Amino acid sequence: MPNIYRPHVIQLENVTKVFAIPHERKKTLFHWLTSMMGRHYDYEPLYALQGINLHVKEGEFLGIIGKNGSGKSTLLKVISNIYPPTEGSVLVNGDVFPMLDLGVGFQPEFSVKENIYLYGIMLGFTRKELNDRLRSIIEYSELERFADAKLGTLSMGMMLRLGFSIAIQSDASIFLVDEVLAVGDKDFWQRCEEQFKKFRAHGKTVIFVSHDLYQVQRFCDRVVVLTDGRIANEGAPEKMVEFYTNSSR
Amino acid sequence: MNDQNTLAAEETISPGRVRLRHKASFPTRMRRYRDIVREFAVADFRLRYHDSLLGYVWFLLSPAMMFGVYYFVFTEVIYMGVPNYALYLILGIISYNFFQDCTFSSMLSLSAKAPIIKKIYFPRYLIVIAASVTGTFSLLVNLGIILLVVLVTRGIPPLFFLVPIPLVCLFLFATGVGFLLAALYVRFRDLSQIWNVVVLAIFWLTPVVYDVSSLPESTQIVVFLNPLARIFMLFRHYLLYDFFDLRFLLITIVSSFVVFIIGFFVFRKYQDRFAEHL
Repeated sequence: MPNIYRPHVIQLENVTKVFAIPHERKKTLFHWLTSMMGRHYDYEPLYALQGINLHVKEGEFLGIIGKNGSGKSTLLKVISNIYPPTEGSVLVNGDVFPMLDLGVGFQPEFSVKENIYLYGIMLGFTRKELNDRLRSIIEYSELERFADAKLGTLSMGMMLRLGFSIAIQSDASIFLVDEVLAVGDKDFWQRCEEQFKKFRAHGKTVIFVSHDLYQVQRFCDRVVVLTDGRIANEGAPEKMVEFYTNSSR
Repeated sequence: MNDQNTLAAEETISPGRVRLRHKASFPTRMRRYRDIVREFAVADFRLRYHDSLLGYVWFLLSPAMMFGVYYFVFTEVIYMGVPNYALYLILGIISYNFFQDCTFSSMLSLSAKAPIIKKIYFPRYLIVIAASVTGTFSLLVNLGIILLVVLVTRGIPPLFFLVPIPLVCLFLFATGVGFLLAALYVRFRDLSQIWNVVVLAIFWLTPVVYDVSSLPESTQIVVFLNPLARIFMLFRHYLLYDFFDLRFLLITIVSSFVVFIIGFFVFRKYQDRFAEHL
């Protein structure tokens, strides 16, 4: 289907996200009571996102680039419903699968198999779905020998591979990929590339946040440049990468 | 909203809202939620007792030791005059222990799962329910042992089949309180110290070691207003005294439900903000 006829699966209208950064962090009732009696609740607004309008079409690979603190991760978290937007509306049509941090919630005390269930179920699989996929997860992560070993004995790279192998089993139609994937080695990147090709072949929608401008150019159909929580520019990957490199100079 | 808004009129939603249209059907999502609760509850239970036999023995030992102390005091030092006092006391202690354990673990459950909450979305109330379910495992084992003792000493009580009702009420009440505590604890970290004191007050305001009839009339009313006291009394009515009062039962069921519902909705109102405040 030509791109222009495809439906939008993600629509952000005028989305603003403000974090209240307290000058004095009040974490206890005692603090709160004493500050009620004395000075006012004192905080500074931090505009993580400001007036973002973003429409993503089905099957599109959207890249997001920008400096640290420009709001890339906040944007993904707003789309995946982890943070509610302060203003504006977010409409997501389809199941979102956030690959924000692979292996968060892994229990080093438990075996690899048990962690597949624990992590997989948190990500939205049912136990039955995982039963069917257990073999392919273990095979794809190349951890056959360690299936019953404690997760704590695995190396970081192995854990990353395991998290990735579980995540890619998802049937979700929208994937949000944060730059955390960049911590993997060359071999791991090859897997990611393979997977991205599969995503494309299956018509999945992907939002890809990265500092690796080369990867962004290779995979994305369109790129958005974020600066201080606003969309500074958007368009074809080559142009945007050029824009970004020039503007950050 | 800008002019190139492509949302249809009926889909326009108020500012600051997220709308997710799930592809997964409602029953599928319910299955997922059930699996999340089960996975968290089992994992927490195993982590708490380190997967060791000695660990499992501990949760039997702590109410047993508590029982020993109170039994000594209230039979040798102060005589309570409650019939079947040993079973009366131990039923009170394990139910109270469940309440205490459940409210504390619910309160702390969100901060314990903070890294997950910040990275993965699922309804946050599942975490609190899972914390309560973890506590229920120990309650069921303890209760099972007491039931055995009751069966051996008294035979099958005629109202035996009603025992699940106070059990469900206890679960709902403790989870409802747990919801409120969990939501508050995200903002006020000294709540755990405050709750320590409150829980002690609840221990003495609830007939755990004493019987309500031993109190003066005016004080009895205060105890009857406490759903927890009613639940404890139901356990004893059905297992020890073969006593049934429909009005008493209905009020207990309704009050436990109300506490659960209030807790749930307060929690749900604030659950979107937890990821930011943790």
